Amino acid sequence: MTQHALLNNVHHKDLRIVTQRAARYGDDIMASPTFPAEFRNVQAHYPIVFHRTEQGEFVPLALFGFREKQNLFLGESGWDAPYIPLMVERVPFLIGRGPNSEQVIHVDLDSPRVSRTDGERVFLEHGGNSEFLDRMSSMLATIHQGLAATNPFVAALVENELLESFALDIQFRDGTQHRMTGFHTIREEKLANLAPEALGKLHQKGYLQAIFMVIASLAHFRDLIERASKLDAAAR
Amino acid sequence: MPLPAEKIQELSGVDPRALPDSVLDSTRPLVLRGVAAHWPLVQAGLQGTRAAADYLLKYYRQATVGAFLGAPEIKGRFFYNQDLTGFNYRAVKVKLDTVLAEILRFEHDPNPGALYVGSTTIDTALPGFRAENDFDFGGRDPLASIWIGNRTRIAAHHDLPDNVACVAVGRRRFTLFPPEQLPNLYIGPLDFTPAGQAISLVDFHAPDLAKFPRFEEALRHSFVAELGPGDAIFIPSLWWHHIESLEPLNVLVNYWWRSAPAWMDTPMNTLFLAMMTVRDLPPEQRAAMKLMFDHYVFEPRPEDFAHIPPGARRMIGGFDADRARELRAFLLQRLNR
Repeated sequence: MTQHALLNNVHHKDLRIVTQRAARYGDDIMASPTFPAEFRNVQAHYPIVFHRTEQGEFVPLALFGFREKQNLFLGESGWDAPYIPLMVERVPFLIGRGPNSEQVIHVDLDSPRVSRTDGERVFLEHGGNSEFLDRMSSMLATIHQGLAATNPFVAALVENELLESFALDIQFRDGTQHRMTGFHTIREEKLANLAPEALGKLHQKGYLQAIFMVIASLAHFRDLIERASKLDAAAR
Repeated sequence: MPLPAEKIQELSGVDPRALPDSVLDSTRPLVLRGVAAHWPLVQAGLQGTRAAADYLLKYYRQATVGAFLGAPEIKGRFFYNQDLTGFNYRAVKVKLDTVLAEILRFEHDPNPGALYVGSTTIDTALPGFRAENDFDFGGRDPLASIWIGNRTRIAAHHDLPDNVACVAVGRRRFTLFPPEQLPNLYIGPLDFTPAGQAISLVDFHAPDLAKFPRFEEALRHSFVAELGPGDAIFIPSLWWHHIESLEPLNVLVNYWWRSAPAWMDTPMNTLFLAMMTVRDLPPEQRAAMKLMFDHYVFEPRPEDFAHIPPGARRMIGGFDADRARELRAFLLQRLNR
């Protein structure tokens, strides 16, 4: 359930946000949407794959696990990676539309991160913006621009037939097997055989770099399997 | 009710290609008869409402505009609701062609719903329009806006910029008051307003003199003018003005500019902050602050600051864009607490 409210320094004067990372704060997620502008940071730690929505649109995702609710980066001491994708970091804030359809910050008051006693203060004592809020608001602006730039990127991938679905057969250390399906990735052969004009166009728009970031990110499947194996071993 | 008002001084034959400084720097209202008679929009409007609407739509590129919609019961008077907790109209985002079509559809209805597209930036909504319909303001760089509606009334309010408002289509009645009529106009809330400016709570068509007795005094100091197609009015900064649009279709083009440099923020900010920080001080402290405001702001005398070497006077010596930047950074930091 979500209850979105326009953030303001009167109604939310005591609002605090818990920034700890734990399942009870909703961090038990298998993946998070991401966007080309943060691929460089995301590909350093997580596989980037594409999910096809029911509407047939492709959404780039940073992958944290193999199953629903499985976040292999989440441990006793929080999130075990130096970079957390912005769509996760932004919670419980989101961009909404104000009365004059201008961009405004909304807060999900039903988020388990919302508190009056713990966490980072959103507003200063007399209603000024805290540094935390300033950081969140610039993060939201980055996300807004990043997501807007995602559609043309994905459209270019589709136009060049650069996306293909893939199945990943995973053999865990204990011998158990898992087949992961339903995601798409870059068709590397197709990319290798693209005509120079098509490549040039992709490069011009900065898409080529993002494509290679996606390809490089797949190396992190090894890390993800390793984390899953350790978890299973510990659970036994 | 009859207005015991003074007529505004009228000028004719003013050159629209070079509005004179004597008009634009005036501190009294002026009416400029026929100054825009040559505008194609004015000419189109003289042929009829349809021609005027068609002429406007020639420039329209489907940008969304803000509009006020009022029920027939409000009789064109955009105002608050009964207890001033809301408004008697709806503010919506619409297409201009839709609004114009609605205005024309109810053109012959004696009491249509009130429709008003106010304060719309011309270059955004009607790009190219000003190439044919414009004035020359010399070195000034005014904001040009267009106001389109049927029979409406905008409550008395004031604006900080100087204003030249030109009736292009229809007729408008302007009722003006000098700034000092403030206490006699019964101005409503400052921080909850229909369109950003505080308004008089007096209904000019039926003033409740039991509730607003000093309004009679305001009327004694009022200036009125009725403008037709091609006529313009100069409204000095901070003069109160009530505007009635009198025809089924009325189009106004207005120009706002400030004589002060752009880095000079609206002094209304200062007033609001002073209400928060000065008004409710203990009387002695407030008196001391009044003295300081006089000393530094309202009546500064050079001899009071002669003891500071000119190069060390900083703010006291005067502002420029960079000094304003410094103060802005300082205030932003101080206010954010």
